[in-house]
Amino acid sequence: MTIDHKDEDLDQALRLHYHAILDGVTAPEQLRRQVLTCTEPQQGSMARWAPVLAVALAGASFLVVLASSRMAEIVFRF
Amino acid sequence: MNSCANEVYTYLLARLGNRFDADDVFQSTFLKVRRFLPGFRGEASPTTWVMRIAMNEASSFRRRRGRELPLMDAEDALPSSALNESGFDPVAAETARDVAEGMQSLPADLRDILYFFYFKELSYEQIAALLGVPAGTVKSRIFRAKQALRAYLEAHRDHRP
Repeated sequence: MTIDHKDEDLDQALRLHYHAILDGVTAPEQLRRQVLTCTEPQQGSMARWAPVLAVALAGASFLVVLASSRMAEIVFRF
Repeated sequence: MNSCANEVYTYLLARLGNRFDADDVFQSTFLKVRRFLPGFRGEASPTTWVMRIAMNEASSFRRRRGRELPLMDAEDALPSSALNESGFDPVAAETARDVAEGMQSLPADLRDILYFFYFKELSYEQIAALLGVPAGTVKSRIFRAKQALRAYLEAHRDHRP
């Protein structure tokens, strides 16, 4: 470590640190345009059904897995 | 809304340490701004209000993700003073790297305070108004942050060959 830990040195090092990484930073134009024009995702009338659909899909997947394991059991029995 | 976009983005970059996360939180911040805008009563300036939303969003983003990406690469953090006539000053570069690493070891609230004080050059009172805490708390947090940073740098020096 080469810095003297006197208060002024630390102050100076902190200022340099911030200016080195942040000077000239601006929000990307595309991102700025996006936030100024976009609408919130899932704000439509379907948004309220999203959790119901997720549960239904999970249930359906479970039934498919269950049915295929039963099918496999029957097939292998023959 | 447009006027404080750069200010918010710079803060998020300092707070989150990388552009990917800063982009994400920037978007969620302005979605919240749009949502809460009808309820904005003007108790604080619009920039302060948006900045508070950004700070909350950054905190919940970190809680959700539970990880902290490095606050820039040490090489990215090289100040222009690290470059002399011959192109590179190893002493300044080492100092910059140590400070960048030390900053990562600080808790977010202390890092926020240092950002507003050293980069934005806000007064204690301005920071206090922004954070909604007394000016005395701002002073003590700056003191604690510098103390922690100094301790980090000392420890780092002791372990360097």
